[in-house]
Amino acid sequence: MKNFQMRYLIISILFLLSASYPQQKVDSFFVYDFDDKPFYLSEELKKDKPIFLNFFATWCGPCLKELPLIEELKNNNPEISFFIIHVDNLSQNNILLEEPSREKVLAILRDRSITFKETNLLYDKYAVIAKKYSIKNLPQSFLISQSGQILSDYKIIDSNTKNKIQKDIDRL
Amino acid sequence: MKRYFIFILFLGVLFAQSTFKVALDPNATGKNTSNIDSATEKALRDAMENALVNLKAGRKNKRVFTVAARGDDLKKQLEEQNFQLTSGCTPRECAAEIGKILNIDYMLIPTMRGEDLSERSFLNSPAANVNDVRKKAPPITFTAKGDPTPSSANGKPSKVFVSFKLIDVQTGELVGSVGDKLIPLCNVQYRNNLINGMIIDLYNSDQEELIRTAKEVKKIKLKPPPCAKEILSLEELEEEKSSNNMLLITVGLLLLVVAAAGGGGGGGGAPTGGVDIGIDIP
Repeated sequence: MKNFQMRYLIISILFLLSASYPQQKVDSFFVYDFDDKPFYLSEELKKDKPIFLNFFATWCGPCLKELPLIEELKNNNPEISFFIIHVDNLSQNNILLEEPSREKVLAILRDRSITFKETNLLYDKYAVIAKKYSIKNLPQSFLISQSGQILSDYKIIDSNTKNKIQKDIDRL
Repeated sequence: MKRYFIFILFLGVLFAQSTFKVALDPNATGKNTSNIDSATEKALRDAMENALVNLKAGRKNKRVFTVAARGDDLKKQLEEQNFQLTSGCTPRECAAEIGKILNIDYMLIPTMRGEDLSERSFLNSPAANVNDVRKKAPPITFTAKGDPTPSSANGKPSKVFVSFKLIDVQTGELVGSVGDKLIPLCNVQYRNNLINGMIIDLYNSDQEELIRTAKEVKKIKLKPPPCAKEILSLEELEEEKSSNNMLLITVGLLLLVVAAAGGGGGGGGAPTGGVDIGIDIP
């Protein structure tokens, strides 16, 4: 009897704890896409589709390496909106990491057979969004639910992480 | 064939001059407008934005700027980022901060100063009476002939002084500036022509060639219409008057000094009418 009461108490505490720590709500932001059209995250969320955000820069080797895996994920999950955010002017040890021109970035992506539409390629010109999302290292990706909660974040995507992301997507 | 195609593509990329994204917000970095009603401010903003968009340079006559966000869009974009300005930033720092949030290249900060519709012109005017003062009726300015100017009679200024500062968002540096220019508001075409000219001056003043990629752009100057002529000549008259006043004051002071020196030299004789200003002549 005593054991049962104890178990009941623990379960109740755990339930209360989980309720008091809700998942992190994503910060809204505004950037231009590669088609020079304004992109508002809040408007994208209104489409009621989960969102996958990937932060990338051309000087970042792992970023380039994981792009084909992200492309695969995008092709396998049309119900998710995939966005690549190209981060420019990120500073590291007081050194400004500048990016090449938009045309060159596009060429780099096309070379890797990345078929993202220009409207799904976003340009964080002054690394404002990267700072907002507290990004210290690239690459980094986020899976966001249709209600705007950050479900998971991923550092470097390899085939194992890709499978994990797929599982996370399947659970949505 | 493929090689030629790649070469042409490379040349295209090499010579492609991208337009710069610019935003304009007179009050983004504090209140930069004074003595001006919101309708006039909006009309001037529109004229400035159009002048920016219409500025073309180079052999291909390419656009230099695209206006990134106008009015409500600008507000929406700042709201989307939950933007809050760092307290204590200088106007340039603030402009750069806002520009980064808006993802633009340059920030244009205009200053718009309406004519000083002071009580002097209102209360001393024959049109003013006690009831007008009580009702705080809009002040009226007057032309040289003493008639109320058409646009100022309805509470709107008949002229504004406009200046521009262009800030590089990346560095927060001042790229160029154009000083206080008198813009008569009685004729829309002439007003827009003067603002276009100011934007061209701003482009031409870029010595470091950050935005200026071509030779100087030439201005098309319109002749001022009669109403604008009147305002401009009135301004010249006022300037002349104030410089005459300064001259009179200087001459007066000089005369006083000379008179005082003459009085002192009399060695205690009859007063000469000079004012003793305490100068001892040996």
